[in-house]
Amino acid sequence: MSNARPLVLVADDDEDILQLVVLRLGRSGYDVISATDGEAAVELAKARCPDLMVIDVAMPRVDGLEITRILRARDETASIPILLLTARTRDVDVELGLSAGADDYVTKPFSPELLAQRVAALLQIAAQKAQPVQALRAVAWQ
Amino acid sequence: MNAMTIPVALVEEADLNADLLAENVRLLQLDELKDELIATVSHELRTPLTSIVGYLELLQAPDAGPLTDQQAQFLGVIRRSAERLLSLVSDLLLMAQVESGGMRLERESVDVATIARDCLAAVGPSAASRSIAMELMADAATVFGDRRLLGEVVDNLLSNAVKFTPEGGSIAVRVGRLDDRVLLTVRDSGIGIPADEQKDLFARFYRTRDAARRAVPGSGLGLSIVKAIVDAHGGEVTVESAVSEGSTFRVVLPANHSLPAEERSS
Repeated sequence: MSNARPLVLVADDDEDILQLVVLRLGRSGYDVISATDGEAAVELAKARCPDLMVIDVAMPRVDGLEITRILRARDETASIPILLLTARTRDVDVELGLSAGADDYVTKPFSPELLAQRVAALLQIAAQKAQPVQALRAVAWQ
Repeated sequence: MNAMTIPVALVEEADLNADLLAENVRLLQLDELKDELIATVSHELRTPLTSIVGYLELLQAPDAGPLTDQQAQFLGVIRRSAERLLSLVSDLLLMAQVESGGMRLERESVDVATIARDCLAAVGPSAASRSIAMELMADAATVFGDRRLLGEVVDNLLSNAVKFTPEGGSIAVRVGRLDDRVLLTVRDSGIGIPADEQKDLFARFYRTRDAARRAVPGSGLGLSIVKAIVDAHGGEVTVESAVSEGSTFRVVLPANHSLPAEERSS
């Protein structure tokens, strides 16, 4: 991840907001892939193992909380940082989201700039967590 | 008493109970309807606003490409209008929360002086653009309260002060401890509020005659929200005002240490 552009998966059933997030994160220099429903998001996450996901909570069929739970339960996707987008503030949504295993949340309406900053922060934390493991692996390989 | 006859009083009581039960069910349904309405309003208004505000930000970003002065000005108008709409939506939601008896406070130790400082910085530009002098005198004053909602209180009082103070006026904010209470005052040299209107000031949707006549933008929700939040914190908000001289809003909150320990830790 350190030399490649981070891959970010964005899922929102509102295509205007999806495009907004894709555009903004694209400007930050990430490779961005997207899904407009929960099932597609889960499949895409399994197939591509992105470095981070931005997921809308309120999506038809498989919602953001369910996506989070599904991905957390699988070894390969368990550690992908997840940021939830929610239309509600101080609501059960947020508590449920965090207890489902999401790392952070942003409430709608959000500033794309702020979202980009949160994404950058989460990627940085993930990179820091990954480093010692990589270092250990490097030692183990010698 | 014959086993076959039921006394009239008992029949009436049973009818009354049935009526009460039906009424209860109806009220519960109404309550659910209201909750549903709040959720719908929350989602349906916030979603399009997310697009409006978000795309605006992309258009106004430095890397979006050059804009003519007029285009930049038009975008500024859209932005201000969208922000007004946004604050109206959040005010309505907050009010609805209060109405359903559910203002949930996320309490923690909060320094009111810090909140005042942040809020002052936020309204600074709009005050400066109208040459209104802002002054803050604040001593650390901690309460056990909801940081976001208390910010809402100070925001509302400050933006009112700016709104109703003519160019070249002044606004003074004071925060301090008074025995076991925290005192916040926002004093302005604005247009003032007639005595006969002061009692209605904290009512929902109330707008002063002057505000309506001058078409000052506002929903009339701000001060009712201020009062609801202050009440929920066990405090009190009052106003002193004289026409053409200005207004002073005074918020009194219980200081952190004055709460019993068990209530603080809950």
